[in-house]
Amino acid sequence: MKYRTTVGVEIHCELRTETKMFSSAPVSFHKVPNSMVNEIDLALPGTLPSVNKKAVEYALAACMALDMEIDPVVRFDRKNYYYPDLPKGYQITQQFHPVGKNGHVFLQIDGIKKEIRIERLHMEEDTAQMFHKGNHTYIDYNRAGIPLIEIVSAPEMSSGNEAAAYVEILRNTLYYLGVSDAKMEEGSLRCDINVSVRPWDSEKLGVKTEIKNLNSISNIRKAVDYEVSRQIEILDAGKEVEPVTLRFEEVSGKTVFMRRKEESVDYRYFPEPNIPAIELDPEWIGLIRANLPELPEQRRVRYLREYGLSEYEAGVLVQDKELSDYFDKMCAHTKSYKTASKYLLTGVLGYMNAGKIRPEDLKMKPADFALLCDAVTDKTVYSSQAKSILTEILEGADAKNLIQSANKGKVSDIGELAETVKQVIGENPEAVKDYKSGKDRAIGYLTGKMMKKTGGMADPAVISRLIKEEIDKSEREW
Amino acid sequence: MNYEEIRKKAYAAYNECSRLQEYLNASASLIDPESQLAELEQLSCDLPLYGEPVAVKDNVCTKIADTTASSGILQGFRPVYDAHITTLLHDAGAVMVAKTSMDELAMGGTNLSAFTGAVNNPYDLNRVSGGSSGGSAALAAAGAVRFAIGSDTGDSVRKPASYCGVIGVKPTYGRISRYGVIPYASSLDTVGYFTLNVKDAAKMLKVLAGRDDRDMTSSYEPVPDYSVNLNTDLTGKKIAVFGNVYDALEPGEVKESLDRVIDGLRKKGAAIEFVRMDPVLAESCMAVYFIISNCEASSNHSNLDGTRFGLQKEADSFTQIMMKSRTEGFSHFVRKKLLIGSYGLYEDNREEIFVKAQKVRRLIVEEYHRMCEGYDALIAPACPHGAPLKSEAENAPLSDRIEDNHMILTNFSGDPSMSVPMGFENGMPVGLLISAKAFDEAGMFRVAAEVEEITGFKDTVREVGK
Amino acid sequence: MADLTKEQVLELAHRLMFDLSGEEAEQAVKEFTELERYLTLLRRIDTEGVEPMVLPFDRRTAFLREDEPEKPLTQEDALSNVRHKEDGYAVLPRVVK
Repeated sequence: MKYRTTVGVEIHCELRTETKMFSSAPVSFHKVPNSMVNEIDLALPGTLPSVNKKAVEYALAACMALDMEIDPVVRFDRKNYYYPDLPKGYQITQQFHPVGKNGHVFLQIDGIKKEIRIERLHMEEDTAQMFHKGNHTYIDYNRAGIPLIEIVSAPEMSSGNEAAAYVEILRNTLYYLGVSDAKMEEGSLRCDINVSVRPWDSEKLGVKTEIKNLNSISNIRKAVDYEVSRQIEILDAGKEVEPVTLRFEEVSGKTVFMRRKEESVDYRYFPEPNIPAIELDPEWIGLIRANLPELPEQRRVRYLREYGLSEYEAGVLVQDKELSDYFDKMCAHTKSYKTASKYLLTGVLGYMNAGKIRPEDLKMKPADFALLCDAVTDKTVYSSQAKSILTEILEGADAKNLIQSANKGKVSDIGELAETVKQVIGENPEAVKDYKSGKDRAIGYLTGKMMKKTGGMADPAVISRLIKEEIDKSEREW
Repeated sequence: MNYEEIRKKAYAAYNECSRLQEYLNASASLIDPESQLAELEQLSCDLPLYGEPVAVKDNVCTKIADTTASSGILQGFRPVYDAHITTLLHDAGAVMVAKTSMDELAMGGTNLSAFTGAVNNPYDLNRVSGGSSGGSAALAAAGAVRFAIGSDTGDSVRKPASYCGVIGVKPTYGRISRYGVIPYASSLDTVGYFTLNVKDAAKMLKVLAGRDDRDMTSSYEPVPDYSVNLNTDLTGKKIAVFGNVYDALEPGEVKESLDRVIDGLRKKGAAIEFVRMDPVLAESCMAVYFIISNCEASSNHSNLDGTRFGLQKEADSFTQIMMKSRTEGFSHFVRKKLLIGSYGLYEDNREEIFVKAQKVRRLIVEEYHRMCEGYDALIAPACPHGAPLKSEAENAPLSDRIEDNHMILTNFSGDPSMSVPMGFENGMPVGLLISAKAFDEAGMFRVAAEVEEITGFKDTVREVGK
Repeated sequence: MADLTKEQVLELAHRLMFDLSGEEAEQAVKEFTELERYLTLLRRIDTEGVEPMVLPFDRRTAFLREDEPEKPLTQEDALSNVRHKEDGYAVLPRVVK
C-alpha cells in the first residue's frame, strides 16, 4: 500500500417535528406544492423567526446520543448567499456556537473497534425544493424551513467501508432516538463526503474532493472506493488531484464532475439579531437526558450480555429497530432468549422477507411467539412440531391451543415407538448398511423417516437414540 | 359617538389625507375605510381606538393595502399577512386611512428618498418633514389624523416629530412587537408613533405594547396603564440635561425654549442637573450607527430578490432577474448603503468593522447609562435646529456631532425616548427629547405631560392649504 | 483598508446582486472613504476585552416556540405576489446546476 485515504462525512438530517424550524407552518411531505408554507417560510418582508422547541429538544437528544458537549446557550447566525431555493437570501444556522461539540461514535468492523470523533452538531433550516423541466425551474417552498441538524465528523475514516459504517451508525442512532425518519432514499438524511489520498509517508493531507448527496449506504461505500482509486490513479500518473465537487453516478458506479470548488465563498456570517441568545433550562436538558431511549449500541450490548445472543444475532436484530423492538416485546414474555432469537431470525425473518412484511405488521403477537419458544425450550413441543405451529400462528392462529393439542398428540410411549423403529429399519436396509459402515448421517435419514410415520409427534432425540440402539442390538445378535 | 359619526370621521380623515397629498405628498397609498367600517359595526364601541382614524407607515404589513416601504423594489407588494401592530390596531377599533411615505426602506432622516417623492413639512412646504417616518409625522401635524404609526432605528420617529411639531414616541426596544414591520436594522429597529398630546401617547402605547411570541426580542414586561397619574407634580424627581448637547447650542430660539422648559420643570419640583458623557464616545455615535445599521440592512434585504413579490424583472436567469430587479428597484442611495454594509461583514473585515462597531456600541451604552445613573429622565433638544430646506438637506453630509446624533443613543441602549413640541425657530417647530430608563415609559410620559403644560403645545395642528 | 477601486466596488455590488452605473460606482468609492474616516474614529477607542453588543440589554430569552402547527397559507395566497407560476409552483428560468 503506497497510499492512505482520509475520509470525512457531513450529514444533514431532517428532524421529525410537527412544525418548521422557525415558523408554525406544518411539516408534511408529499403534499400539494406550496400548501405547507406561511409568510415566514416564503421570507415575505417583515417576517421574523421563532425557534421550534421540539427541534431544539431533538438536536439536544442527538448531541447526547453522540456523547457531545452541549452549549446551554443556543445562538443562531446568518449565512448569506443567494440561490433560488433560499427565499430569505440567507440561511439561519449556528456558525459560531454549534449546540454540540466534540462527540464520537465507535465503528465495529470485522470485530475491530474504531473511534470516530464528531466535530460539531448544529441546527439550521432546509431549503425549498426545485424541479427542473424544459427551460424552467419549478419551486415548491413546502420544504423551506424544515428543521435540520448538520453533523460533521473529523476526517478520521480511511475507507469506503468505514464511511458506510459511520453513516449507518449515525442513521440508526438518529432513528432510534426518534428525532428523524433518517431515510436516505427519501432525502431526510443526506450525506456529503470528503475524500483525499496521500502517500503513506506524507504528513500533509492530500487535496480533497467532495462527493455530494449520496443516497444510500451501499453507494457511500462504492463512491468512496471509486473515488479513492480515481485519485490514486491520478497520483500514480504523477498528476495532481483537483479540488472539485463530484456526484456519484449509480449506473456507472463512478464519481463524476459537478462543479469546481468556488474559491471559498464568503458567507458574511454574523449573529442573527432577531433571535436573542436562548438560555436552556438545565432541568429541561436533564429531563431530555433522562428520557433518552435505548440506543442501538446499548441494545446490542444488552443482547450480548443479558440475553447471551451471538454477535451476529445481536447485530442483525439491532440493525432493524422494529425487528428488535418486536424481539424485546417477546422477551417480556419469555426467558428463552436464544430460542426466540433463533426462531425470529430464521423462520420469521424468512416469512417476512418473502411477504415483504415489516415486524410491526406481523399478525403474530409477540406473546404468542414467546409461548411457543417456551414450549420448545421445556420440550412441551418438539422443534419439528414447532415449525408447523409457527406457520399457523404467523397467520394469526392462537398459539396456546396449538401448543396444547401438539402436546397431547405427542408419542412418548417408548414401547409404541420401538415397534415403529423396527418397521423403519426393516424398510431401509441401505441406510442401515450405511450406518454400519460408519456413515453417521444415515441416522438422520432414518430419524426423518420415523418423524414422517409419527406425524412429527415424537421427540427426534429419543427417536435417533432408539434407532441406534435397535441397529446396534441387531448387530450383536448376528 | 354613534356609528354614523364614526363613519363621517373616518371618511373626513380619509378625504383630508387625500386633499393634503397635493401639499404634503405624505401618503404612499390611501385606504378607503369602507371595509373596516363594516367590521367596526360588529365591534364594541368601548374599544380604546374605536373609530379612530390612523395613518400607518408603509413598512407595516397590511393585508388591505400594498406595503412598499417607499421602495421601487416593493412596488405592488400586497402582504398576505398583517403585522402584529396592524392586528392590534384593528382589534382596538382603529380605522387605517393611509399608508404613509417614508425614506426608502427607512434608510434616511429627511424623507427625500421615498419612491413617491419627498414629503413636505406642513409648516413650510419647501422644507423637509424629516424621516424616515416623515409621512406619518406630516399627516399628524396637519391634523388629518390624531394617531400615526412610524418606526425608529436611529431617530426616525423623533426627528420628524421635532421637525413637524408633534409628539413622537420611541418606546423601549422589545416593548412593541416588530413582527410584520419591514426591517432596517433589526438590533436597532423600534416601532413608534405620533400623537398630538401626551394623553393620546399614553393611550396608544397601551394598545401597541406587549409580548408577541412571533418576535423573540419582544418583552414579557407587564404593560401598565400609562394614562393614570399623568399629571402629578415632579417633586422629588431628578431630571438630567444632556450637557454635551446643551453646550453645543448656539444662542437663539432653541436654547431659549429649552431654558424655559428647564425653568418650568424646576418650578414643578424637579431637581435639574447637567450631565455629560465622554466626548470621544459621543462623537463615535454616527460611526457606530453607520456601520451596524448598514451591515444588518445589507443582509435584511436579501429577500428582496425580484422572484416572488414586488418588482419582478424579466430575464433569462435567476441571477439576471435578481440583478435587474435590485438595480432598478433600489435607489442608488440604498445600493450604496447596502454595499458598504456588506463590506463590513466579509470575513476579512468583520472583526475590524462590524464587530468593532458592536464593541464600541457597548462602551457607548455603558457610558450613556453611567451618565444617566440616578436620574428619572434625560432631556435635550431633539434637534439643534428646525427642519432644513429640502435643497439644503439633499446634499448635507452626515455629521459626527453629538447634538445632531444624540437620539441614536437610545437606539443603541434600547431605552425609551420621545420628542415633544418645545417651541419654534424661525417659525419651524423644534422638539424636546425626553429619555427614560428601560420600560419606564410611564415615567417618561409624566415628564412629557408637565412639559406639555409648561409649553402649552397640546393638540397643536398646522392647517395646510386652507 | 477601505480604499477601494471602482472595479472592486463593482465586484462587491455584483456579489450583492445589483449593478452600479459608472457614476454610481465613483460615488460608492467616496462612500468607502467615509467608512474609512469612521473606522479611524473607532480605532481611537480601546475595545480590548469588550464583548460585542448584539442586542439592546444583551437580551436573552428562555422562550422556545411549542411545536404546534398553525394553519398555513392557502396555495393561492402563498403565490399571490408571484408573477410567474404554474400548477402551484413558482416558476423561474431553468436554474443550471
